[in-house]
Amino acid sequence: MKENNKKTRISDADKADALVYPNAMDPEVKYAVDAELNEKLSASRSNMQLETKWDLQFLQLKLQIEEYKNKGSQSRPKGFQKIVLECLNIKGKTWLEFTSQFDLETGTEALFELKQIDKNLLQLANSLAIFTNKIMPIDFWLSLYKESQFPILKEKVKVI
Amino acid sequence: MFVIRQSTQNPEAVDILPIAANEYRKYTINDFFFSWRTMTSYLGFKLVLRSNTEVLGLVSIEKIPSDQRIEIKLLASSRINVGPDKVFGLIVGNLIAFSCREAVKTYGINAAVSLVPKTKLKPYYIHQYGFLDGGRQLFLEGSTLLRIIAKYPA
Repeated sequence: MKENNKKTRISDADKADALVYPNAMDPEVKYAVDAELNEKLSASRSNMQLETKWDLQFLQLKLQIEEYKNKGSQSRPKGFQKIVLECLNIKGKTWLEFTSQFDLETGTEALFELKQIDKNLLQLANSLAIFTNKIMPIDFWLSLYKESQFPILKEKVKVI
Repeated sequence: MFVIRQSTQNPEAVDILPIAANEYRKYTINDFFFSWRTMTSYLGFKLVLRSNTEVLGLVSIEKIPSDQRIEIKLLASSRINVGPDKVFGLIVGNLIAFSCREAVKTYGINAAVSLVPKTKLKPYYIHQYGFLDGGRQLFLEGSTLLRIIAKYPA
């Protein structure tokens, strides 16, 4: 018996690695527990740094593009445009910073694919252009122009 | 994504895949500490070795849109991967990081992941994974969530 106890004894750390237990709570208790969590969660969210918001927003976009690419063109990222716009609207970030943290090739490719199925990307193209100075190489804009029918991009190329 | 083979300290590639409905019955108390067939109403995922598809760990999550969070309902490494003689390390970290990525993908800036630990284990989760104290539950959000995702890359 003693030996058996020794054999099955697991440290707290190992127990934690083994399992998060299912919570078979009474619904009322769970409601109270969730309410307590939400209070702390709200406080934590409201203190979030701008940089952290940016990183989360950016990561969401990246994960959605990856999912989109994995599933193929039949599946369109949910809220894709909105996320891109929100990313670009976070103050202090430029297109250069945006692309440096992002696989430009993948992103551009995904945008081109999306363009085929959603003409409302004009709004997105507008935002990209607004947030872009002359920091992107001309080849980038020419290739985008070639693939795109967005008037704003044509204008951008003219300016450059 | 990788786990560490404890005997050699070498990394081995793993994938996280959805658990099919007819698969749950295979994950028994003997191997995974709990009868997973009772968890079919939640989203289930398994962490498998890429080389031979051996299942090393399981996680069951629930998306709670009203709170913009994911709750980890149940999480377990396989029995041979628990304790001082475990074969692989980093299984739980990878499953938590996966839950975090799912939360960010779904909820963006407000993404959060929570779980209800045994009271005794709270300090361990806080220390090991950076969970924050949410009363009876623990949670990850914002920078703590990003830290776990960076520590256990996909």
